[in-house]
Amino acid sequence: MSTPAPSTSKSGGLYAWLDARVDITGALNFARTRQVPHHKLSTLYHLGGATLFVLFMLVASGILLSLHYRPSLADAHGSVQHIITDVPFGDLIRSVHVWSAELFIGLLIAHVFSVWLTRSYRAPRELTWVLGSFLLLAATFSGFTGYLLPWSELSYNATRVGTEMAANVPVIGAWLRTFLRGGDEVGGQTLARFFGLHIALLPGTITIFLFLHIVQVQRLGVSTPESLAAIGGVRTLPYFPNIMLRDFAFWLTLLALVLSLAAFAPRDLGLAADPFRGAPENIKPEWYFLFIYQTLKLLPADILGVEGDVVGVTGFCIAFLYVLALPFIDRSATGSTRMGWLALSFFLGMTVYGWLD
Amino acid sequence: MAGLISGVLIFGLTFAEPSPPPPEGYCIHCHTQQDERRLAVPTSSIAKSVHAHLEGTCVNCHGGDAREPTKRAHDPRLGFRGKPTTADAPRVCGGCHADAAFIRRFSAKLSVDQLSLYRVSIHGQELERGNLEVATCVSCHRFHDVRHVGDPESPVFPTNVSQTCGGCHGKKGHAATKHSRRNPLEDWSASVHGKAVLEKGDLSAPTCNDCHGDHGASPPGTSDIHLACGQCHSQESAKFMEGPHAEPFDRLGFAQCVECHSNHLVEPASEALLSTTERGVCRKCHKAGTEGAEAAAAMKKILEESRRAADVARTKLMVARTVGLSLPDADVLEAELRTALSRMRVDVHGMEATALDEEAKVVGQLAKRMQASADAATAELELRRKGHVVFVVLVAALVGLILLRIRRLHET
Repeated sequence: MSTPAPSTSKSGGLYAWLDARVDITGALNFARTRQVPHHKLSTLYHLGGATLFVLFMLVASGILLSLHYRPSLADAHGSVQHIITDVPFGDLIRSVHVWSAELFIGLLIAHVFSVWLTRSYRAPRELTWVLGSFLLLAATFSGFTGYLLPWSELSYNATRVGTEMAANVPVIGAWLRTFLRGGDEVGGQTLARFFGLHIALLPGTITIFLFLHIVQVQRLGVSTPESLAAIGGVRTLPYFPNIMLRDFAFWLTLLALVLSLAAFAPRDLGLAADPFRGAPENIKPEWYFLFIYQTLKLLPADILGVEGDVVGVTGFCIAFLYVLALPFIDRSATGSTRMGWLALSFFLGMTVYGWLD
Repeated sequence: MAGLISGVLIFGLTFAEPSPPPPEGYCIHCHTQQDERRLAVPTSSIAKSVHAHLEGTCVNCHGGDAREPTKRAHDPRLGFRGKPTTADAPRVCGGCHADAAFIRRFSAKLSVDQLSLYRVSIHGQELERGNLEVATCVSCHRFHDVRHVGDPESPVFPTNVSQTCGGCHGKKGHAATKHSRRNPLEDWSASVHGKAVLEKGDLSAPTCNDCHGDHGASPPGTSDIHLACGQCHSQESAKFMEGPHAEPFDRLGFAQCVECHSNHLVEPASEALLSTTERGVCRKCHKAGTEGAEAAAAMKKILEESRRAADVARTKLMVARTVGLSLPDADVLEAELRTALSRMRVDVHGMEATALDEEAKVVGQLAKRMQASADAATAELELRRKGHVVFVVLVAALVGLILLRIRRLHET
């Protein structure tokens, strides 16, 4: 493909000027050549793009918040209070960030299960799946680190419980707890560490993994569910404009949803953390950690001479490794999705049970 | 041969080094192995005691020589007294606790006046008269399992004091309750003070010893009650003593604070105390239509109006907070309002309607500023929400257009 000479005149308008420099027409032509299968489950294809769109909202609102946030014990809670009360639209931006985070992880979980239940991780998309699994891990960890930053009573106690839970990870548990806390207790060191992880290390990791994930999706295209592929006759639609317009409609709906939640259900900041005050009653983690919390709560204190929490956390670590290795374990052409449904039922069941308990 | 062996053994036993005492000491070592419960139990309970780490723990109270396990340990000539009697307890405990030089070894802050205070207390005086049912040191602190007063398991930890004192003073038919028709333990437990300690775990709220004293326990006299209550309610106490009621109360033998607020069953104070209803206390002396009754009604009216204004402002703030608005200025105003309302309650004790009027004006102004702050924030929120609804409608229209375009694309 020959590169057109940059236009120096304004006669072609802005489009022509830009097209000469960044090849918009070439990009559109590429998008027109991309074909996406169109069938009864094709709505699921929009989950990945929607997750990416919400991530943009999350990053944009996060950058705005970081202009005013101060990560120290003395200032953290006060600076968030300042954002809410003194910064123009600060309360809205903070609520958008919080609700985007919830939605981001929610969409990510839905995306993972949609891929799992349609077995779209099969060869040659193993690496796409592995990258996506790490993205899910990084996203939930990002949610965990971000939760502490307002240094409120709830966030402090949730971090204390969460980091204590990390101590049950086999072999590296004790080290992991100290590493996360930056010492023996949750304090100023933890706050500084979580801030660094939340605004630099984790977003950086997510960006790299996401880039590789998207490159893989573009290279390999989207997968047709095996049940529909077997029947045959699945027609395709060009990504531009058919699928892109659908994506666009979905994104606009999500934008309206997040802004509506931020406007009508703003998140309360709560009291500043006080390590000398006891944890509030009925304290629960964020909804996406609730299934782990509830499971550990139900386990007996002692299982065959091993501490119940250690058994539980070890089980979850093994479960994650299983999910990661899924494309390499399930290599058959027509496999069962029973494990996927079982995992989804367990996740939903324990989350609802934990919510109601 | 046998004689030779016996001789060697006897020689060996006679000249061998004496075996060192067991690490826990002879007393604990032997008593742990006793079958009789009364002799064995102290060894386990002393381990949790604040005295456990002391050298010669047992002999400090029981006497004897702990360096030798049998005869000398229990030799009365070496001071062994066995179980100290009730009458002995203050003297035995005071042997250390009244000795400033000895106590200073552990903490310069520990007081050494317990024994002298006990001797002037009602308990001490009764013991002096030979009443052996009366409380001594061990009644409140236990004997072997003596805990530090800051230990939540100590019988004299604030949350446990009522049960400890109530063990005698809350028992029906006990000599300690014969002078009263009411049960002080039940009354205190139902009071605002009791609920603060027992339900909220507020260790600063008063329990028995805060008013009656601990080692020097005695009921406050009718003219001293303001001193007991004034330890916490100093301003109310001072206002009362400056006010018009102090002199006649003293003259008539009225029990100051207790006359209006009761002694053990102290309820949260409210305007109802100034009313003519059953809860009203002024009516006990001031008959309807008298100057005193009218003054009470005027003060009640001022207090009620101020409280209503404060409630309206607080409700508006609460509504604003419920929808997520954070109002730091209003928080400061609310704190000032709380202080002003407290000052009004203090002024009631001086029976000065003019001072109340001044404070009521302050409360009114603060309440208005709080309402204005809440209203402004709520109005801004409403405006923003209306703008948001417009935005959502526009987005919905745009999504509708996109869906139309998608349908057309499908048709072509």
